[in-house]
Amino acid sequence: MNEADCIRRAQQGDAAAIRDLYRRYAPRVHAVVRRLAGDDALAEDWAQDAWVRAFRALPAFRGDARFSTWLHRIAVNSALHGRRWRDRRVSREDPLLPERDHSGRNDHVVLRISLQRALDELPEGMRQIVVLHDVEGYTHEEIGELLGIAAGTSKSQLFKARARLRGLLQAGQSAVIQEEACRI
Amino acid sequence: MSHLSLETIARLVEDEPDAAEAAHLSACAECRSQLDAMTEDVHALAMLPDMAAAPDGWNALERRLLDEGLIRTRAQRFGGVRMMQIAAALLLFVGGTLAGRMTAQTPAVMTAASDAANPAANPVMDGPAGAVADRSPSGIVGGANDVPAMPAVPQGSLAAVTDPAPAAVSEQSGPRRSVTLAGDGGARMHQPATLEEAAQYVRAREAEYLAALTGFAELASGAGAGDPVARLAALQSIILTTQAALNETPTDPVINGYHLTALAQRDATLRQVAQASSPQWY
Repeated sequence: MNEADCIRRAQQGDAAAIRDLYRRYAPRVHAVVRRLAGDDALAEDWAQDAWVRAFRALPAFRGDARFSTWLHRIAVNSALHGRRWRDRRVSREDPLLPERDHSGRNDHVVLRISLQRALDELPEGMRQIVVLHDVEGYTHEEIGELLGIAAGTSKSQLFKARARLRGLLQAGQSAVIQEEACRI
Repeated sequence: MSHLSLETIARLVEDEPDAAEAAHLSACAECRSQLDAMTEDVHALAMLPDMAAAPDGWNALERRLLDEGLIRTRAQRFGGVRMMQIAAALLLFVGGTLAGRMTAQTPAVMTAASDAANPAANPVMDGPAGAVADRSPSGIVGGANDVPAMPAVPQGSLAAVTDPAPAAVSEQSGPRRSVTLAGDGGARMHQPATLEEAAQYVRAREAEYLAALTGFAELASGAGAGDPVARLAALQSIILTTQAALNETPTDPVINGYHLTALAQRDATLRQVAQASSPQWY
């Protein structure tokens, strides 16, 4: 079944077609949501939210844009919405957030996905902009629209985020070198 | 010599350096190295692969989509047509049963057409036809002296017919008179004095109705039953439908009748399937 047929059947609620669309695009959706979330558990929730939103809106999809682009935008919006919702809830429930513990995740992740880990280490605002711009290819104008900030702010935040990311990568590489030295 | 800041280097990944920055980069190997490293970072970010979703991601999502009614299973997609087929079959089944009973076994209480002129003296109709009469605003009229009478109704178990309106009588030539439905004026309405009496009356009529239908079904299934699994599925669909209807109108006797009939038929079919499939292991 080609994508157009799949979309048309999915618009009518066909379970097989919907599952087919999910299988085609689940890795893409999960990737963008996971990187924006910076956390596996959150990413699963937000990815599911993204799919539910997408299938709710699917009957209105007219094919003006590519389906992948349309879906990607929904995933990004869903993650950003999820982040805002969680931030509001956390700020109400526990305004004193504990320090993040990085020691546990360094053990088995650093060597294989140091870049992903460094992204996770970024502050949320910086991570959003790096992910949207450098990973997902959004322009500063688009990011400004999504986040409700000026394009210039997006740009300056991106440079700060890249600088922070470089520092995290260097620290991570140093840690790896030290760990390797200890094993020797 | 002070180095370029990391933010400046981050900007130079995309933007052209001004004269001072270019001069510094040409002279400073460390800043050039940082710029190269950061350019690699950005390139690597753009090349990050997709990520595998959670293995049970679809199952969780499917449950949610089903809950929200966003996807329909194959059964649901064809459910509308199938339910109409089932409903039509049910109507034919019930209607045929009733028609058969009325033409073959019209109760004695219905037989004397002239009694219609004196309805107060008549007990209420018994049997399936009576049940239908009670559920219908129309009256059942007609003479049927030539058909066997139903068993006598115990006194006091049923209310008397109180409708004073005379029923229309359609006399026909030939050995058998048809039973027809007339207008509101011919209704033989049961008017219980108390709620409990009404409930007892409904239960009694339902039991007789179910017994008649069950007997019919047993005869019909003996004559040539279809696929029991398909029948079970159809009956289950009816049960779900009537259950949903009962949630709205729990005391409706018609819906209760359909529901109980479907339940009884499902149980009978299950027993039939179990007997047919159980091996004689001993």
